[in-house]
Amino acid sequence: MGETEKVVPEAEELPKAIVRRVVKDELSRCSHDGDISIHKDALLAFSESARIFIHYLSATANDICKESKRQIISADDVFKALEETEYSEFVRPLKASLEEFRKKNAGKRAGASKEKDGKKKRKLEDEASDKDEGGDDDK
Amino acid sequence: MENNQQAQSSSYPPQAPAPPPPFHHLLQQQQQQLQMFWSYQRQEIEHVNDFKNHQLPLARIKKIMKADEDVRMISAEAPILFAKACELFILELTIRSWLHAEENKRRTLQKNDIAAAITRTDIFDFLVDIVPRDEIKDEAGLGGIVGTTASGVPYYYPPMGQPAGPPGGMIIGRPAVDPSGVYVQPPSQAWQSVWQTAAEDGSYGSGGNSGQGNLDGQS
Repeated sequence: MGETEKVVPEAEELPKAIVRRVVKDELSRCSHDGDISIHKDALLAFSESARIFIHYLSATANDICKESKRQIISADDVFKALEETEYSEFVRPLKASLEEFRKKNAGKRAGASKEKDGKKKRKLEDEASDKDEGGDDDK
Repeated sequence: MENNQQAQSSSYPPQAPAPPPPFHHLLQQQQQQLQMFWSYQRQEIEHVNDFKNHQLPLARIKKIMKADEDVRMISAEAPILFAKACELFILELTIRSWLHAEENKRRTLQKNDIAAAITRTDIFDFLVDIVPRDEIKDEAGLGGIVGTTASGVPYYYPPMGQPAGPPGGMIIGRPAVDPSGVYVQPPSQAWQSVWQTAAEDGSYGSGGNSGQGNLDGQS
């Protein structure tokens, strides 16, 4: 096996199609008279900016989490991070999204609590798992 | 039903041997109505279209977060929040970039529009490093400062040494002044549309307010 070589992959990016859709939909709201097109480089800039925003926000949330001597970045850490980075305008819509997610999950859990019980513990502490759903959180 | 042509003049008489000109005219009318109908429908759909459709993949978000080695464990709810926050962020950036394109009378968003948005907006300061210097140029000789207004408070550009208009760097709602006389309506509508859609969706509470955060204009 030899030495453990750390392979540094290229930075993960957000899917272009989705970024493009977000931008385009907003543009069509901004401009009612015809389509605005997006230059290829502009799309890259959007993706890149969003990616760095994630880093920026998670680093802030991470610091807040550590300050409280906890290990797991919670929803609350994220909200505090938004305040700290002056993105407090996001807090309300994000809280609403969270509510929706929790309701949805509560419904799911009620229906399948038995089989979830065994899996929950594994899902809660996220390491390298690559599930799309992010699992459910027992809070 | 009688052969009374008063009723429903918009529907073409199926059997009547109508001479070409009126028939054509009626068809046109119908088409117009259809167009209006669909345009309205589309607006309705877009209006109701909450962010669900845009869900960024949570696994990808998680990967991006974990690219930072400092970040260890993340609750299952965090990626949801990040996905949404990311989307809202992109909306913000889009609007501001679009404004720049509009100022330069372009219908294509270019990289320098995004660069301009980043440069102008305080809460985008963390992005300043990714903008190559040559992207920060203003077309049409607008220069770095929009003309001063009566009150001296510019809408877009914080001139050297002066704070940006509304506190917090995020301009929600009606701007206080209108430097060019052109952008008062579109920006406020553009802003309101982001938050109002949320409001009317019922899940987000009332629309956004300005006045968040502290003034951080000296960048």
